[in-house]
Amino acid sequence: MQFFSQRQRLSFAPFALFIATLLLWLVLAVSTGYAAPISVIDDRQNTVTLPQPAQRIISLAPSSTELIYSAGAGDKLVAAVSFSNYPEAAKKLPLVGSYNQFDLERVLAYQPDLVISWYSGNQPEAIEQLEKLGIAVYRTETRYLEQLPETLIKIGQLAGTETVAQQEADRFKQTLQHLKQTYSTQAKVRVFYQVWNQPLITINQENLISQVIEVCGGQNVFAELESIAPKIDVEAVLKANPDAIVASGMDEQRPEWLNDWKAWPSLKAVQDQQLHFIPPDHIQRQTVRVLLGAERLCQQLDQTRQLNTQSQRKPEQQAKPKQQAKHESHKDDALS
Amino acid sequence: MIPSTVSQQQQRNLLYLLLLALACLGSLVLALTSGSIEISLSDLWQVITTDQTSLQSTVVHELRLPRALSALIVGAQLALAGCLMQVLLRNPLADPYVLGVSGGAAVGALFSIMMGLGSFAMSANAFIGAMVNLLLVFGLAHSQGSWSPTRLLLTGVVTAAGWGAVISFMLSISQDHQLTGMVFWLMGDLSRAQLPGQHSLVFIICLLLSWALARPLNLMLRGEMQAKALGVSVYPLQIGLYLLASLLTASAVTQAGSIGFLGLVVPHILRLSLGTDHRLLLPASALAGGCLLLLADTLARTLIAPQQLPVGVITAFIGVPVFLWVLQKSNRGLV
Amino acid sequence: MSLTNNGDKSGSASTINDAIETTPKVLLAAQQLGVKIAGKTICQNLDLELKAGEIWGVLGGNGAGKTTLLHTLAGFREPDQGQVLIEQTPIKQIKAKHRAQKLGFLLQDEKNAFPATVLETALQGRHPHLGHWQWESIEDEKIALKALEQVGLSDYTERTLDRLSGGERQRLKIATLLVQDPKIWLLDEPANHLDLHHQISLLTLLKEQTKQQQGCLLMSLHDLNLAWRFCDKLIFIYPDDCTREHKVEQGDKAALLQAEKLQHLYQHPIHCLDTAQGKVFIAG
Repeated sequence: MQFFSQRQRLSFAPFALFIATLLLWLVLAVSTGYAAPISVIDDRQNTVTLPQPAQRIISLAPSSTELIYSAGAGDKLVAAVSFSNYPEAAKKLPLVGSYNQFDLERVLAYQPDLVISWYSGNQPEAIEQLEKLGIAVYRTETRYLEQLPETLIKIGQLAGTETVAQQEADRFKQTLQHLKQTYSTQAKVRVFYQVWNQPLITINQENLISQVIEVCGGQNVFAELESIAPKIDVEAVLKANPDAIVASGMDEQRPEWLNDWKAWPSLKAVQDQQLHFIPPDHIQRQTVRVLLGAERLCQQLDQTRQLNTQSQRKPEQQAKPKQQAKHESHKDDALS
Repeated sequence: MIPSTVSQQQQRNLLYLLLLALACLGSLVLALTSGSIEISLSDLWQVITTDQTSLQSTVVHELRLPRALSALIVGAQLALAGCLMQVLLRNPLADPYVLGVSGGAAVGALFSIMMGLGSFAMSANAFIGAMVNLLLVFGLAHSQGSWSPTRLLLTGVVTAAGWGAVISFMLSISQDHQLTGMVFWLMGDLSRAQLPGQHSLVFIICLLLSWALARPLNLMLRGEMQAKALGVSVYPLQIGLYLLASLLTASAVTQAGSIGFLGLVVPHILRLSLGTDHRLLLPASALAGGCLLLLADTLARTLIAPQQLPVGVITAFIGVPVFLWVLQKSNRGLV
Repeated sequence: MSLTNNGDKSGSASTINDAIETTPKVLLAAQQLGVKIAGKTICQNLDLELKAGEIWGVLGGNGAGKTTLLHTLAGFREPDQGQVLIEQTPIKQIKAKHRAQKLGFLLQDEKNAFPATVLETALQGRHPHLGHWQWESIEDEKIALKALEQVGLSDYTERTLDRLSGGERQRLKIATLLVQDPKIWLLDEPANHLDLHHQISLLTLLKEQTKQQQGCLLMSLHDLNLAWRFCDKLIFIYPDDCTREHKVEQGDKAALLQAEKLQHLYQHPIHCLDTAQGKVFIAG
């Protein structure tokens, strides 16, 4: 008997050891959160892999900073670049330079485990250098509005804040869907979006702003141009004769040059007083705040739309001043 | 009259070169010890002498050293090229870019950016662009068989203007996200510098070759005919000068874009203070150019860190007052 | 070199005269030389022999082609016909540096882009005599200093060229030639910018140098009195519309410096006066 039980005990020993190890491993795994490496595909189709959720994140663009906060990972940000002014907490972050010229050494000094970069803003060589030095880099690049919630979720996965990120992403999708349903199917409003006055710069259909215009049931009059931010001349605007002119300017102030269009009374947008302003941070930044800009733009364009439907009832009035202007300019030519 | 000015001068030349070399070494140490991450002189010594994988070691080996060595080489190349160009064109206003080398390089680089090619292809295309310019200007200036500095200068300046137009055109049709990379080629910047391996070889070969031509160069300053009368084969010398200066500039532009001002002013400062003997002037220009660019780049990345300044701004901030001061003090005139 | 050797060669005047009387060596020769510039013929089938110890002058009006002829003889430009020989070797086959050891040339004004000092400039005359990597020695410096003393620029050694007057620059160019120490001297208007005193003293110096060294010298001049005083032989380049059968004429100065020929040469009446001090030429 005794001999027998001893044999049993001996055979049990390795099994117990195995169970114990498994338990210990499980406990460790739970206590560190996630043990499996996290792997996501960034906006430029590169794979970003982290052994564990990022604890020290550096943002290399103002828009990336906003995205990180939206994804619930704001408290893991250790540094950002200048003009990271939203949300309020971002203003207190230490800086590593500006998005187009940052100090590589300072980035290294913060010993980040994740860098969120901006593909079209950062110098590609500098980003490659960071990767060479063994730092994980996520490249953001928003070409479509629908991409934004995906980016949010991916950043959330990398930072271990998926729950918050998912909520924010859902909220974004819902709001966008609501705007689309309300406005995009209504009568088209022809829009000229003015980025700057001198030189006169607009946007083509590849630009995110053009997509926002479409969501609001607008039609970008320069959608077909080649360049993403083409330089144009005043004549092109006169020829396109948009229903509304929308501009952003430099800051929260409505730019004075928006009123310069009043010198062209033949423009329909001027006749109808449809010169609109949207704060640039609400529409030019590729962040969830683009919804603020979208909501405002949709309201503005809806106002234009109402005026259009009114004037359609008496089309002869619309044609008259146009002809007059043409006539006058011919007279001028003859005189000179 | 002191009986042997010549031997005295040779000793003085050696002293000048030694001092400039020391200045280069000093700037190198300064560059390696200054930056956002604190690295003291003793830390630096440890990092260099021992094999370690600390943050400091990474910063010195991966970031500061490649950038500092690039600055030395690029500065030396530009100053040397400027010095040669001024003799070739017999024009005090000539700089390395005057014949359009940087324009050709920029067009090559911008082309690769627009095509979405990688950074290696970009450097290669920049170099190819510079070489295309070299052959184009040479061919055009040469076609009628009457080669003269004025003809060369005019051909080069007009070609450079042509490149400028191509660049503006490319910039206006390029995508937003490409602009950041493009501006680099026009402003000049050392932040993307790699260890200057093959470029330092180009520099050393060009320095030795031009040094071998130093005495004939002195004669060239007195005019082609005078040089001919004193037994210089002027035509081959001019072609050699043109090739050397273009090659140096092409190599420098490929590494750091077109950094202005340095190639124009460094040779002048040295001419005014050390005289016009190219046996001293050529190596002295190279050393002083390297030293100035390294100092300027160190300041550019630390002065208002973490914000980085364009290095061209600092070279001008240092160079302009130094040049004006030397011009005031000098008893040598500029014609 | 020339100056250190002076002592050996100028032992006595009689040796010089002997050298001249025994058949002197031809140093520079032109054979069937034809030179054109911008479609205009300067000379055709010109045969010329510059022998050791001879001093030649080239006379002609403005634009007659004196400078072009000199440049062709120096090998700076290709002749359209015929050839130039230095001591029997065609000049085309001689390397630039070796040519400069034998042939020195005084150019009309050239501008300096970046001015060197007077001593540096004079030392440049040593270029053809130095090896590729060789630096000027103390010997070379002595030669340069001696030459500067001969032209009266000893006090200006450290001055830069831009601070010299036209005459001083001309003297410096002559000093550089003295340092270069060639056998064949081609001078394009050496009297330019020089005051009367320096015209005489420097041409005297060059004449002595030529006679002592058994070299030869060819210079273009505008002053007939200087030509009479310093040259042995002359070349006249007549203007295009001249009715004479030869465009270029060469010969002894006594044969050429005649009122009638000079009138053709300059298209202007010129009087020759014989005075106690020698022949004098006055424009009418």
